[in-house]
Amino acid sequence: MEFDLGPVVDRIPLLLEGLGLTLGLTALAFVAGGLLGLPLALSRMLPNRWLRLPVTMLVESTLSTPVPLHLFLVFFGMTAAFGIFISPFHSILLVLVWNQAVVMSENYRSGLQSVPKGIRAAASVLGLPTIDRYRYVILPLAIRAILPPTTSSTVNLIKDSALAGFIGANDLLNAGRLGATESFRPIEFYTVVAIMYFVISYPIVWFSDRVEHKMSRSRAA
Amino acid sequence: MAASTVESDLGNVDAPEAQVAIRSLSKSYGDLNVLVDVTIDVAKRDVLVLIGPSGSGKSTLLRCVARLEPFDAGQLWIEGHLVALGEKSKGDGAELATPNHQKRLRKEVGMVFQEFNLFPHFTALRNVALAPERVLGLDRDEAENRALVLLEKVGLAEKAHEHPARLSGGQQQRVAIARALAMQPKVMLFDEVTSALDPELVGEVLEVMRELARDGMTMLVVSHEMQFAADVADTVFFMDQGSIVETGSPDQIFHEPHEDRTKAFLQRLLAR
Amino acid sequence: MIEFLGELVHYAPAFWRGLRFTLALTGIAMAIGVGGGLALAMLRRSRLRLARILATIYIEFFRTTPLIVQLVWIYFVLPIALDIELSAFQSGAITLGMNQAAYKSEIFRAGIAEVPLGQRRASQALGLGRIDTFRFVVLPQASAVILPLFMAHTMLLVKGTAYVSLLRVPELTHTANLISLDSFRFLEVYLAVGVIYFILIYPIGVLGRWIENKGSHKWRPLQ
Repeated sequence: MEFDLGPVVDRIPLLLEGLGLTLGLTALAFVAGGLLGLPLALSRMLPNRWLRLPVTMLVESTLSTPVPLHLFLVFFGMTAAFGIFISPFHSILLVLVWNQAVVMSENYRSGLQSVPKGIRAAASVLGLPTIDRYRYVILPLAIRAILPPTTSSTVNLIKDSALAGFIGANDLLNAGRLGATESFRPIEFYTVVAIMYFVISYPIVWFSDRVEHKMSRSRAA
Repeated sequence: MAASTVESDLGNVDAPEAQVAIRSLSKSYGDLNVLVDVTIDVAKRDVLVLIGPSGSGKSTLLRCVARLEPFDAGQLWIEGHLVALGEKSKGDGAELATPNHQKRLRKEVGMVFQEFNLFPHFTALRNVALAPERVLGLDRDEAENRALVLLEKVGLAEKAHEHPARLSGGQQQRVAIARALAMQPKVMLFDEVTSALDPELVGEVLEVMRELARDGMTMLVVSHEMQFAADVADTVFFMDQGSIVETGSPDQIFHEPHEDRTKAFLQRLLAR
Repeated sequence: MIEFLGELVHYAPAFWRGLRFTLALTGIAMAIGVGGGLALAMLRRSRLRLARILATIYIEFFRTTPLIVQLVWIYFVLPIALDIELSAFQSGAITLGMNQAAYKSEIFRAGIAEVPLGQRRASQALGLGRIDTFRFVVLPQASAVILPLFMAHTMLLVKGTAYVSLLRVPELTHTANLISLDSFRFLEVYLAVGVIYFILIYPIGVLGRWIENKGSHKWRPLQ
C-alpha cells in the first residue's frame, strides 16, 4: 500500500475552499444559535405552564431526533410540500443554527440553575436589588457553569457541519470526497480530511480546558 | 411611611416596642405544619437561642424573619415597622409590606448560614465590600475600608485577598459574619453556623459571636452549642414540630426543664 | 391526510426493515462500545506508557472528529488496509462501535472514581472480599453516575445510526429517503420517521433524568 500525498497537494485549493465553508458555517451557526438559544431558555423558565409547553416540545423533539433527518426534512420536505426551494447551503445552515440554539438553551438553563440556592439567598439577605444580584453574583457564576458544555456543543457543531456534503454543499468533507473520487486515492484524502477536522476542533477543547483551569481557583472547593 | 396602628385580622394593633416582634407566625406546606402560631418578642441587645430537633421549624423561622420565605399568617415587625404580613392575612397592613418597603428594611437584618454561602468568584474583601457599595451607596474605597476593618475584627485581615476556596471552613464563616456586619444591621440571625464545621474550627466562630454579643448586637441564634447558649444567651426557646414548647433563661431550660419534650430532647443531646 | 396514512401502511414493511436495521446497528455498536470502552479504560491505567498514549490518542480522535468522517474513512480505508471485505452495514456498525468505545471508556473511568476510597477501605475492614466489595459497595454507587451517562450515550448512538444512511445502509433515515423518492411524500415520510425516532429516543432521555434525580438524593454524602 503506497501512500502518495501528491494528488492531495495538487488539490489543496479545493480543500481550503471546503475548509472555508466549514468554518463559515460553524461560525455563523455558533453565533446565531447562541443568540437564539437565549429566548428559548428564557421561555422555558416562565411561570405559565402553557407558555412553556410548546417550546419544551420543540426542544425535546429536536434533541430526540437525528440531525441528518432534520436536514432531509428541510431540504427535501420544504420544497416538496410547500414549493419553497431552500439551497443546500441555507438548509444546512438553518438546521445547524436550530440545533445549536436548542442545545445552547439547555446549557443556559442548566448553567443558571446550577447557581446554589444558598448563594442566591445570601445575596438576597444582603439587600442587593435584583439587577445587582444577577449582575454581580448569579450571572458570573452561571457563565462559569455554562462554559464547559458550550465547548462540547461547539465541537459537535463542527462535526455536524460535515453533513453539508449529504446535500451537495461544498464543505471540507465534500471537497475530500471529490478529491478522492477524482484521483482514486481515498485513503490519503480521507486521512488528511480527518486530521484537518481534528486540527480545527482540538484548539477549542484545549482553550476550554485552560479557561476552566484559570477559573477553578475562584470556584468553591 | 410608618403606621403606628395597623388594621389587620388581628384587630387594630399598635406597633410593638420590641426591636423584633414575631406575632402569630404560621406556615405550612400542604398538610405539614412547619410553623404554628409562633410569637416572640426580641428586645434590643437580646441574645436569643433557639434549640430543638431537626424539622422543628427553627431554621424556617429565621428564614421568615430574613424575609427569604413567605409565611401564611402572622406579622413581622422590625423597629416598629410592619415589614411582612402573612399571605393569607387581610387588612390594609398588606400595603405596608410592599417590596419597596421590604427592600429598605432588609438591611436591618443580617444573616449567616450553615453553608457559609460566600460568593466563590470574589475575594474575601470583595465579598464583604460588595453590598455596602451597591446597596448603601458607599464608593469603592469607603466600602473596601469598611470591609478591611471588619475583616480585622474577625481576625482575617491578612486573608482579605484570598478566594473562599483557599479558606478553611471556620475562616469562611468568619468572613460571612463580616459580610453580614458590613451592612450595619440592627439584628443578626445565625442559622446553625457551626454545624458544618470541623470541631476544631467551631471555637473561632463562636468567639466572634461572643464578642458580638458583648458589643450589644441583637442576635437570634439557632444552634446545638449548649455551652455557647449557657454563656451568652438571655433567653432560650425550645421548639418542636413548629411551635414553641418552652421558654426560659439558659439556666432554667438546661437544668430544670418543665416540659417532657424538652427533657427528652436535652437528654438525647447530652448523651452524645 | 387519511389517504396518506393509507399510503404509509403500504410502506410498512420498508419502515419495519428500517427499524430493524437501526436497532441492529445500535445493538452491535453498543456491544462493541462496552467491550472496547472497558479495554480502553484499562489501557489508560496500564503501566506501559505507550499503551496509555495510544489509548488517549484513540479516544481523543474518535471524540473530536465528525462521525461521518469516521464512517467514510473506515468504509473506504479499512478494507484496503486490512485486505478484507466489509459490507456497508458491517463497516457502519464497526465505526459506531469504535466511536462508542471512546465515550464509554470515559464512563468507566469517571464512574469508579466517584466512589470514595474510604468506602472501599471500610468494606475491606469489614472483611468483604474484592468481588463482594465491588458488587455491593462500588457498583451501586458508581451506577448512580454511570447509568445516566450510559443513557445519554445510547441516545447519541441511536441518533448516530442515522449518519450511516450516507453509506446507503437501509436503516430508518435511508429508508425514509427511499420511500420519499418513491412516493413523493417527502415531508410526511420524514415526519413519520421523525416520530419513530422520537419514540425510540425520548423515553431513554426521560429514564436517564429520572435515574439522575433518584440517585442524587440517595447518595449525597452523609453528614
